[in-house]
Amino acid sequence: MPPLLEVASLTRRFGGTLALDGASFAVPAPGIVGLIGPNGAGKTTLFDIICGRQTADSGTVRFEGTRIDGLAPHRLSRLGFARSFQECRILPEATCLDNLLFASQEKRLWRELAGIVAPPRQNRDHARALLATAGLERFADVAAGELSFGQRRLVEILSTLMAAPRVLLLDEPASGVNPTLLATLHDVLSEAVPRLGLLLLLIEHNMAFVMSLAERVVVMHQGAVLADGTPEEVQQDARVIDAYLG
Amino acid sequence: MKSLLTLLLATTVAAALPWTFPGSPYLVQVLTLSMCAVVPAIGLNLLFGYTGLISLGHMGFAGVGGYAAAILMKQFGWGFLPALLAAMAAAGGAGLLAGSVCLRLRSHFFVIVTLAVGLILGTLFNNLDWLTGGAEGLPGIPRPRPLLIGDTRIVLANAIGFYWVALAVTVAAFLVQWAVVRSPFGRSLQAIRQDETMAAARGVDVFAHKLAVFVLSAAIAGAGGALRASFLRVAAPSSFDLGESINLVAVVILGGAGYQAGPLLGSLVFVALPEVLRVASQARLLVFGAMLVLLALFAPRGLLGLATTLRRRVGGSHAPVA
Repeated sequence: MPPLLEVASLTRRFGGTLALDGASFAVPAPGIVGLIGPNGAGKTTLFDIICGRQTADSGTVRFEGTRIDGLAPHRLSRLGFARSFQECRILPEATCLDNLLFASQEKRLWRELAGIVAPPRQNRDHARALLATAGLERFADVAAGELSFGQRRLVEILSTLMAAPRVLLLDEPASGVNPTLLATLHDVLSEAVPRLGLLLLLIEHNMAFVMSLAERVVVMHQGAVLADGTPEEVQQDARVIDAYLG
Repeated sequence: MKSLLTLLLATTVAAALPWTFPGSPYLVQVLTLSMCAVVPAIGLNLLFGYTGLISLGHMGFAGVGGYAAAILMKQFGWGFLPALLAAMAAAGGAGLLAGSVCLRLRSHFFVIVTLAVGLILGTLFNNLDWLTGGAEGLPGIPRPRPLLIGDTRIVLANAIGFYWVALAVTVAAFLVQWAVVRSPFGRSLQAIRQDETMAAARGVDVFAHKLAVFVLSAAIAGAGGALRASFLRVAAPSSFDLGESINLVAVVILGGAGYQAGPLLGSLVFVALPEVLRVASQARLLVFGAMLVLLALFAPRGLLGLATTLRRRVGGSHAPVA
């Protein structure tokens, strides 16, 4: 049985900067994996390569044993990959409800074109229920761009969950989110991951948040994996303390 | 459904205008001319307003449609409707060819290449004498044949009859726009405009979607070109040149890019208003230019964007919470 997700010897160079230097790790089954490390460690570059936004100079990414590196983002999305971005990307002009409905709609072109003549049914009830899990139901019909940053972040993450992904990559979801909304986000993720049976890869600098959620933590430093283990193990690892935790 | 009822009501009112103002053939002519601009503007609105792709050579595709319809009607004796559909197919085909190249570029590079496409098409219209008649164009395009409904014969060749033809084509283009915008395809287009990277991450094949809307937009522009050629009874390069393409962009921006009624309002202001201001002769250009500058300064989202902003201010808006 191949691992669910396997990253092997990924290398990526930007001019004279080596962003990834042979990064490797494998995740055998669904669950929550934290990806931590100092700024510039290569975490977001790794996400970008897994999600097809960038290509690696060398190395491979496999999903259930099949190579997926080099696939376009939309193809990876159709395989069940979803992601959030550091800078919080939503549809600001669309309502919160429409943000979620867009995430879950069929996006193959020919089916969309067929939908011009015969619009497909939309799972509005499910979208409203998902908004309710984060206390955002009253904003369902409000333009997402009018919400506070934390609320927009929640809409972004709920949108990724609406697509029922198999692999979810969240890039610093706790960044800029107030403690109340952070608790909500924690609850949403810890409920959704086992329910959907998905693998959540979580880049995060908020140690309390990531250590309380993740079952396993991968520590990156200077483009390579420095340590890999349970939250307790990595917090006690002298190399991790020296390079990142301080 | 509400928007469809609004469209039905507006169509009824517009269809009755020639009877409401029986002594105003000039009004009918100006409105027909406006509708000849509305149709390609709807095509451009789908491309620019909803997808965020600005094309500076779009009247070139209208020209492909215009010349295709002109040749088919004049030389092969086709009726207006089959010629219109063939014009859309020809313009859509030209859009497919051009889009396959242009859409590989982004931002201002894409805009510049669309400008080049418009210039190339304009040059072809001007120089393929054997096909397009060169600088003189193709005059003598027949107007649509009479429509027979039972024993009733509706003449479409005169000013009022052609006004109804133009209205029917405009309404059809509106319906296409309405159906596209509310469809999953339309939502993907709007997602591309708002955030292309996010749209791709959510599963949208950005290039394929852009190409599809480019082809659709060119096909609608082709219908507009066929309508214009049939109305003016001539397909001439000056009807589809760079200046006309820039005017088309101005029409969409003026009315409100990304608003379904934007092309209609923009065309009325851009095409009809200068006609109304014609009494002021040379001064009308100054007045019109000043109006454009003011709109650009105070209504960057066009007249409908301005109206939306004012309505929100009056009605209040949702404030961010927490």
